[in-house]
This record gives sequence, structure tokens and C-alpha cells, in this order.
Amino acid sequence: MKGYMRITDRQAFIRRTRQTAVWMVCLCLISTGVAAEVGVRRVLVLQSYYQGYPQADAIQRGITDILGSRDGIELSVEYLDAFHHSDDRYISHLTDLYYHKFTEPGSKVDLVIAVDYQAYTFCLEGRAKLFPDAFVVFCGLDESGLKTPTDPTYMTGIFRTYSLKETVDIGLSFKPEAENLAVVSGSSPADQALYASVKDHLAKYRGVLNLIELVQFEAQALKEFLIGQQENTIVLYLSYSQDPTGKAFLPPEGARLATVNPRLLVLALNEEDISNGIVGGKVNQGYAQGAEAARVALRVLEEPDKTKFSEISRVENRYVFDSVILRKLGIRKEKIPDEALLLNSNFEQLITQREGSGGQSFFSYEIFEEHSMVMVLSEPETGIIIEANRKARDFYGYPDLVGQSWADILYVESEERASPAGVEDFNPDMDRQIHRISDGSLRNLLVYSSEVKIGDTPVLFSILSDITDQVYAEETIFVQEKRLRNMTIHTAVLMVSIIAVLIYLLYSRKRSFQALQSSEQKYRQIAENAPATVFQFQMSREGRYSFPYISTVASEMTGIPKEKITENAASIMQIIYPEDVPEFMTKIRESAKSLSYFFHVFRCNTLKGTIWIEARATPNRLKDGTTQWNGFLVDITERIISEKRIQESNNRLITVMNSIDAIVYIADMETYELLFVNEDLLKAWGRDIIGQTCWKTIQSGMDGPCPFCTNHLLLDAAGNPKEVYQWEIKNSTNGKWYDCRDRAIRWIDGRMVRMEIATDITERKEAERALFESENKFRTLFSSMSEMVALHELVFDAHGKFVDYRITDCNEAYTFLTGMEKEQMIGKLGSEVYRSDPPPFLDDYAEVALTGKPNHIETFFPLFNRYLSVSIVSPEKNKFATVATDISEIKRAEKTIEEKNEELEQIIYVASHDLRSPLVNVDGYSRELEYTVDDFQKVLETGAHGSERVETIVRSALPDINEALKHIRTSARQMDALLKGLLRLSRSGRAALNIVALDMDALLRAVLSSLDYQITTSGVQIRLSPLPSCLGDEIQITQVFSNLIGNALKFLDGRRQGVITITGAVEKGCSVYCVEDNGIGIAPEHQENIFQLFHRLNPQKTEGEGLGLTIVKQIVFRNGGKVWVRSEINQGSRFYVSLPMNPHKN
Amino acid sequence: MNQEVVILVAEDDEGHAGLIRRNLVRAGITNKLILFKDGQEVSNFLFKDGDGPHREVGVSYILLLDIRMPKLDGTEVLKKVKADSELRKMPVIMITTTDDPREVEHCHLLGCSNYITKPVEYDAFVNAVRQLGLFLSVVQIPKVNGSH
Repeated sequence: MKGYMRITDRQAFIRRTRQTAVWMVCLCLISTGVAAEVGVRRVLVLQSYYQGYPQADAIQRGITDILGSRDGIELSVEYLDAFHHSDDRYISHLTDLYYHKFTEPGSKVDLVIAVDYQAYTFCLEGRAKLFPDAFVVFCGLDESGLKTPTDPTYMTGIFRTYSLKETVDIGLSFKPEAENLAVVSGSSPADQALYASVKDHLAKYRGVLNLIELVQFEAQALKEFLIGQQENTIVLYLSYSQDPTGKAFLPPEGARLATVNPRLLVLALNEEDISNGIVGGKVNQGYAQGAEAARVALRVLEEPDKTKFSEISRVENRYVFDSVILRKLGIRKEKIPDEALLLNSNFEQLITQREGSGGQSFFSYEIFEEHSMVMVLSEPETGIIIEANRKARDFYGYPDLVGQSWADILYVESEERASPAGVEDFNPDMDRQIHRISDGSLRNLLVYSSEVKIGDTPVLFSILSDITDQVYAEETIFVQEKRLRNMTIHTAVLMVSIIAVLIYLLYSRKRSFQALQSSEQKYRQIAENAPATVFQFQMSREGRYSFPYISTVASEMTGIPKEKITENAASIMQIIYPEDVPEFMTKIRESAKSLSYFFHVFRCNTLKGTIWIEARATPNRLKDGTTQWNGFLVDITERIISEKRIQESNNRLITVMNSIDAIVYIADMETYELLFVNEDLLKAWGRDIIGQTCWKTIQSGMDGPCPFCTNHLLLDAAGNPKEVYQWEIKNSTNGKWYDCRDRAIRWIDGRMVRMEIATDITERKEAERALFESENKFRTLFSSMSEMVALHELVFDAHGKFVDYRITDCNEAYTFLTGMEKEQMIGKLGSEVYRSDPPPFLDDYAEVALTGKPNHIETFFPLFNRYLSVSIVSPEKNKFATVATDISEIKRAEKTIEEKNEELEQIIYVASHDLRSPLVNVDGYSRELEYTVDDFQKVLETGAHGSERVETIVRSALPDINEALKHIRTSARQMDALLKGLLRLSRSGRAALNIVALDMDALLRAVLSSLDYQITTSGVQIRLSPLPSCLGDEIQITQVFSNLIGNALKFLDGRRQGVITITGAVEKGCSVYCVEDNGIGIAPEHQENIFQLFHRLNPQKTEGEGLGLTIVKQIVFRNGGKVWVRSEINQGSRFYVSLPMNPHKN
Repeated sequence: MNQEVVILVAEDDEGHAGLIRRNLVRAGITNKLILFKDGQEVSNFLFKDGDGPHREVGVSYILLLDIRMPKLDGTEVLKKVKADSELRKMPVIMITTTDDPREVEHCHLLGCSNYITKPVEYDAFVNAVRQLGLFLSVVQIPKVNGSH
């Protein structure tokens, strides 16, 4: 409901405003008293510019100096601002406004002074309506500008004159070589009027000089033309207040257009244009005209007979020159008329003095220290100040300037600005600079610098002149126009009104509110939407204060009726927040005391609630000592609210930043200053570190920017932000690990800053470290374990069928097994490493890898010549690990056991067959003998048969007895031989081995020598080739070859010459020997039996107990070798013996 | 036993051969007996190899075979005999000194008709040969070449 009411109130206000807006605005713009006083003559100064326009100001100063202090005269000024607005509708509005203003009883004007061409025109047209009884005095007007003959009954004035001829002539005397005369003139009516008034005179120079009329040129074209000119061109600047499009140029801007080329001599006709690079001329002066007009006005007011003023007077022009420019152009003083006025002569004087002293010491310290201008000495190279005078210290606000550098003071707004005064290519010229003084404010300065010598030391001498106010006036409109452009349309409408009032107040002059507007529509919008309360506030010397005027908006704003405020000023003071009052009063008093601009924001309690008011006002001191402020109040509640909203949104952002589970900071990339840090960082560091240097605060022990700073990685070559840069670091302050994401972003003020979001990853790092350690532990175990471990993954073909496997890792033991380097195996296919396709055990391995069911295989790997026991496990699908144990030794032992068992088996066999066989005979024939003995017993017992009969029986039994005894005795011998053989075998199997390298040539020679008798008797031929060395027990190996050669000799074929050949060679790490004969040979079916115990092929034919080859086999086996036979029946046999080779030979 | 049946004895030990002969005679077996002193000789006889005597067609033979013999041992001869279509019907009686059951089993598998161990204790040996004689007297010995 409240909000609705507000709207209704506002609409009512708008309606009311529409009716009274004009009147209200008129009133509010009057700065001096509005109440009529009897007996007082009202003089209205009407000018079409505004404060800051040099000539109008000069004229007005002239008027004010005469009339301002005169009793009985009430002086007021109206600014038409036709400078910016020249169309008829605007003038018509202005007329309406003035009509309300000046036709009210008690507000009639007695005399109007029109100070320029447009004011004159306005009076001419509007006088009958606006001030029918007032007399008009004009000035600032050219004779050619007079529209109608002056009616002496109500009008008189002073003509402005131009000394064109004198000006051009003196210019020519300065530059006798000049060939061209360029005339600069703008497009405004005033520009045109001036041009018109000198046109005829100019024509006279045709023929003498090339006359270049730069009239109504575009500013840019004008500049370009002038820059292209040589020194033989003299420029005559008339005026340039508008370009052809109607864009306004302030007088300094116009003058600067004309002086764009510093080598050219530029002359002017108006005194106010001098400086800005213009050398001068014989010029008219506004002040003199104003003063003259004021004197005429006084006479008019005092003289009832107006006809006496029909004569239009003129004011004499004078020569005025800028000393600095003269000097710059090298024009000597003698060329200047004696009566000429020299501007900027202070500088010139100083320079002269310096030169006069021969460059040694330009003047005394007292002069320097007490000089009324700001003077500073500095080192040319470094810009460090070595001396500054009292005025300089006061100006900059530092008790001592010595030691500071220009760089500290100089404020560089943009690259266009000049470099500091202490530069090498010093140019003794004036320079505009902006300096920052101790209170932080910026001042515009005109700096004159020149290098002087003190002793032999070059010193830069600078004289500075504060031109802040001047520059401010020039720039305000430009800046505000710029601001306007930057604002949104909605805000723009609001701001137009504020700026309008602002500009007005800044110059503490009255001006038509409408002056800013060129249409009814705009005007309305401003009037309706202006949130500003315009007020006039006064405070007497005694401290009594009142509001002589306050606009109606005040009621809307404060809820207090306007009348109540004007009746009792305290009523508005009472609604100010009590806590804001003391400051408010302090500021007011300060402003009153120093007449400084008043600016204050305070809170008020109103019916609508709390509102924020911004007050701006410019103070004036009235004659009675009362201070009067003209200003306005703006309800900035919404702005404050929106600022608060921004603050809130900012807070939200900060909340977001704070809620990120990471530390966030933003730092300047050049100064390393921390601009923002989030709460996590504050908490982690336990103190406020904003504003500190990042490398000093965030890290520890750094004596400069961190060596690992990523700033250079955040910007590309063009200085634009790159992608986020991510890295990890262990912070040197808290020892924690952070994952950092850095990025350059554009900070609110436009500079590039680094933003880092750093997440604490200490736990992860710890886990990683623990994992690493554990991994390391297992890795060590893995590498050092004696089991051969290899990790594999299956390799599939296009159909998804496993075809191979790849080794992904293996331990040291595995490399030992394969004899290949890890690098040679890892990543390789099984088929490559094991040189078989498919690789070994692919199916078995794949089953484990696919099903995850562990398996175990035990097999001989021919490639490695080893027996391996392999456990296969699958750590994950399609992968498998093999853990292999070398069981070759076990297998070897097993084989040994097997052989021993075989031997044992043979012994058992021998025991059951060969040892029993003789016993069967012994027992059998013994029984037979018993039978025989029984028979004899029976015969003897019966005794009947007689001795003959007995003899016959005995005799017949004798062969059987003999045979039985023969068998018994043979069997006993057989038994003995077998037992002896077993004993020998057992001894040979238990004999200690003394393995040494054997010289087999020598060994065989010894064997042959021991068999010499048999060899000789059998007539066999022995062929012995050179033999390789081997490792073995000398006695046993001698036995081996002795047996083999002995066998060969035993089984020779009697039908042919026996030949025994002994050869040897190294094959696959073994020394292999062969004993070859050409004897009877062994049938294939017998070959496997010949090494068996007690096996004899031909027991009848040959000697021996059938133990020789058994012993050979046993010895060779015990010496780590092998024995085998190749034989063909009736052809011969070859017995091979393989023994470990001698590694140091062969 | 049919007197036409010829008893072949392959026995490398002459003593053993004599004992077998004596006891066969004692058991009343008076058939012709041919002695071979190793597996090779009996093999040559049966398969008509070599220079020595060869078997005759139309004669019935019975083979007493010692296992442990030089050159060819008894099991090898047994294998050859059982592999021959003419000889396979011939009864083969293994005579051995061992009583290793594995060996007995092995010979039975190869198709021997009977198995006699040569006990060291002579009475048992005599008994065994007598048993053999009894066996030989009742058994029908096929003629080699299929004719009875």
C-alpha cells in the first residue's frame, strides 16, 4: 500500500510540476535576492555564455567592478547559454521563462546590459514583452553586428573594435619573411560576425601576402592544414566557437586549434585568446568594455534625458603579448611597442635573470625561497628533487620535498600525457602536467622547466603554476558528455538533470534550466524526473541559518512542506539522523570558513522511511558576512540501495568464494599486492592479509617473488589471459600441498590480476606418498624375490580371440631366468620373447586371465633349459601374473633318485635272478648228491648185492656226482663273482669325487699304455685324435675309458683288422668323446640292455662279469655327464661320453 | 603225453637245464627234449633263423623258457612267439628264479601258458617240475602249422 501511495503522490507532483515547473525553475536559478526592495535599481546582465567563457567573464568583471559595490544597485546575471543552443524554440522558451520571472510586480528590471551579440539580439526581440520599461546598454558587439539603428530612447552601447591592421603589421614585423596569412574563423553567428567585420580590411593584404581564409572549416581539416604549414605562414585567429556541424568549441579549444603547429606565429584580435600558444596582437579587451558599459549604465540610470546617449562609444584596443611565446619564437623585446602589456612575464623574467648570470647561479636563495611561484630544483637524470621553495612545500603539502621524485608526484593519466620533467631531451618549454599532492588530490599544472648549472652540476629548474580550476572548467563539460554517453538511456535522462544543476552550481552562476534543453519533450522529462531539490541556504556570521529558497521537490523528498522549511530551517535539520548532524555542521562551518565546495551525504528520517541525501553546494560570501550556498539535494537512497545491492552481490560472490573448499586469492601481477582473499585463506593464515604482498605473506622465506610464480604463464604475448594453469605445490608456510588453478582475470579497475584457487590436497598427497612407499616396498620385494614374477596382459585379435600375451612388468629374477634385460621384455609379446607362436602355455594362461581361476603348471622350458613350477593368477580380467620357481635342481635330484632307484631295481633284479640262480644249482645238485648218497646207503644197508654190485652202482653214479659237484662249485664261484661285482659297483658309486680340469690327451695316452699288452696281442690299430679338455675325477674317468677301450678290444671281429678310433669335440657346452670300433656290433634289441648290471651278451665267448658298462654309466653320471651307444651289428660300435667342458679352455 | 610232442628248453644255466631234465624224467616225461642255451638259439630254432637246428613242420612243441638269458631274454622270446600266427598256439611255460609278482603278471599278459618258479629249496623245485609233467601229460598240444 505504501508503495502505491508513493506512486500516486509522485503523479500528483508531476501534474503540479507541469503547471509550475517553469516558474519554479526560474526562481530557483536566481542567485541573488528575489525579494523586491523599494528604491533599489535593478540591473540585469544578460549574456549568452556562462561562467568560464573568457571574454564574457572579462566583460562581466568590468561591469561587476563598477556596479557590484554601488549602493542602490541590485545586480543580477542571466546566462542565455545560446552558446550551446541557438534555435528559435529554445529562445521562445527562454522568453516565456523570463516573462514569468521579470514581469511579476517587484521584480521589474530597470536596466539591462547585454554583453554580447546574442544577448543584444535577445533584448532587441524580447524587450517589449519582458522588460518594456528597461533601458538597454549593449557591449561586446561589433559595429557590423548592429541590426537596426539604435533607438536612443531605450538603447545605447559600446562597440567592440578590431585592430586588424596593427595586429597583422606587427606580426609581419616579427616575421618579415612571411608569405602567407592564414585566417581562422568558425561557424557560429558570433564567429561570422567577427569575420564579417574584418573581411574588408583583410582584403587589403591580398597581393602583399597569400591570404588563406580558413573560414568555417572542420576542426580536423583545419588542424591538418596548419600542421602542414611552414614558418613563412602567419596565422590570424579570429574566433572558432562552433564547427560547421554546430558543435561548440570553448575559447581555449578554438585557440588551441589555431596554435596546433607550434612553429607558426599566431595572432589574435581578442585579449582573452592570448596564451594557449597565441603570441598576441593589438587586441580588444572585455574588461574595459564591461567597465565602460557599466559607467554608461550608471549615467543612464542617473540621467532622465535618455537622448544624451545616442552616441555609441568605442574602447581603445591595446597591444598584449605572451612573453613566453615571444621567447619561444625568438622575437626580441625591441620589436614590441613600449606600451604593450606582457603576460607571463614572471617566467620570462626568471629566464632572463638566469641567462644574465651566465648560467651559474640565476638568483639568490632568498629570491628562490620567497618567490611567490612554486619552484623546484631536481636532478635531470633521476627526477629526484634536490630543492623546493616554501611555495612548493605549501602547494604539495609536504614539509619537505627533497628526496622525492617527480615520478612519485606526477600523475600519468594516459600515454598522451607528457613524461616527467626530468627527461634527457629536455625542451625549455611549457608542459601541462597533473601532479598528486599530499592530500591525494590531483592538480593541473603548467610546468616550465629548464636545465641550469650549479657549479658543474646540471640541475633541472622547474616553475609550476596551478591551473586546476581553469582546466577543470574546460574539461567538465567534456567529461560529463563522455559520462553521459557511457550511461544507459534510463540513467542518462536522470543524469542529464543532475549534471545540468551540477554545472550550474559549480560555477555559482544562474542559468536557465531550459538552457540545457532544446525541446519541450526533454525539458518536461527533466523537470518531471529531476530528483534534485534545489536550495539556497544561508548562515549568518552569528550562525543563524535559513533557507531563503528551496524547491518544491524538497517536500516530496523530506515530507516537510516547502513553506515550513523556508519559515523554519531547523525543521529540515531536525529530520537529519542525530548521529549525522555533528559531521554535517562541521562540514558546513568548514565550507563557510574557507568558502570551499560543500559536499556531504547524510541520512534523514522521513515519512517514507530513511532516505540518503547527497548535498552539493557552492558558498558565496555576501556583503554582510553571511555565507550563502546555492546547491541541490539529491535523494540517493536508491543509489545507496543499489550500492548496497552491489555490495550484497559482492558479498554473495565473496560467500561463494568462501564456500569454495579451497583458498582463493587475487593478486596484482606487478606489485604482488593481495587484492582479495577468501575466508579459507584468512582462516588458514589467521590474519587479514589483504593489501600485503603475496610472496611475503602466502609463502615463507622468500626474498622476492616466488621462483615458481606462474604469472608469466597466465598471459599470452599480447597480454591477454590464457587458459587456466594447473599445478601443485607444497606451501612453505603451512607445509600443505595445494592443487592450484591460476588464471589472469581483469580486475574491476581494468588491470590484469592473477586469481588462484588452491585446493588442499595434502591428504591425497599423503595417500600418494603412502601408496608410493607401499608400492616401493612391494616393488623392492618384487625385485628381490627369488621367484621369477612376470605380469602379462592378453592380446586379442580382431575377432576378440586371444592370440598372444604381452609382458607388462617383471622382476629381476625373471630377467635372470630369460637372460634378457627388462627393457627388452617389457611391452614385448610373449611370442617374441619366447620365440614361439603361439607363445608357451597361451591356452593355460588365457584361461586364468579370463576366468580368474588360478592354475599351476610344472614343466620343462626347453628355451631356458630349466624345470619351472609356475603359479598363474589373474589380478584383473585379461591380465595374469606368473610366479615361477626354478625346480631344475629338484628335478635333477629327482632324476638322480630315479637313477638310483633304477640301480637299486637292477640290484634287486640281480638278487632275485642272478644271485638265486647259483643257489638253485647248489641246492638242486646237493639234493641230487643226497639222492645218490641215499641210493648208496640203501645198497650198503641191504648189502645183498655184493661188492661187485656196489661197485657197479657207484661207478654208474660217479658221472652224475661229478656233474653235480661241478655245478655246485661253478655256482659258488658265480656267486662270489657277483658279490664282488656288486661290491665294486658300490665302491665306485661311493668314491669321493675330485673334479678337476682334465687333460684328456694325456689321460687317454695313459689308458692306452695300460692296455698295451692286449692291444699288441690283438694287433688292433689305435687312432687317437686331439681331445678337448673337460671337468671330471681323473681316476674315475680313466676307469671309464679303460672299460670302453677294453670292451672294444673284447668284441673285435676276428674276420677283419681291428681299428679303434678315439675322437672328441665341444658341443653345447660339453666335451663329447667317442670310442669307435669296427667290431661285432650290438643288435638294436640289445643296445638298451648293455648298460644293465651283470648283463652279458655272450657269457660263453667272453670274459667279464657284465659290470663294465654299468660302472661306466655310473661314473659318467656322477661326473655330470652322459653315455650312450650307436652300433650296428657286424659293423662296429660307437660309445659316446659327454662330460662338462673346461670353461677356461676350448 | 603224446610222445610225439617235443619239449624245447631255453635255459642259459646248464645246471638248471640238467635239474629240469632229471626231474622231468623222474615225473615220467620221456619226450624228446631239445636244450637251448639262450633266447637267441631258441628263437633261431623256432623262426628257422641261423645256422643251428630248425623246427620241423607237423611236430608239436612245448617251450620251457627261462626269463633271464643273454642276448634275448625269455620275455622277448615269448613276445615273438605270441606275435607269430603259427607259433602262438604253442604252450609256453616260463621258468624263472624270481617270484616277483610283477614279472609273473607281465608274462601272463604276454600269453604264457604256465609259470614255474625255480625255488632255491630243491624239493619245491622238484615238485614244480613234477606238476609240470602232470600238466604236460593231460594237455593237448597242438601241432605247429595247424595240424594235430
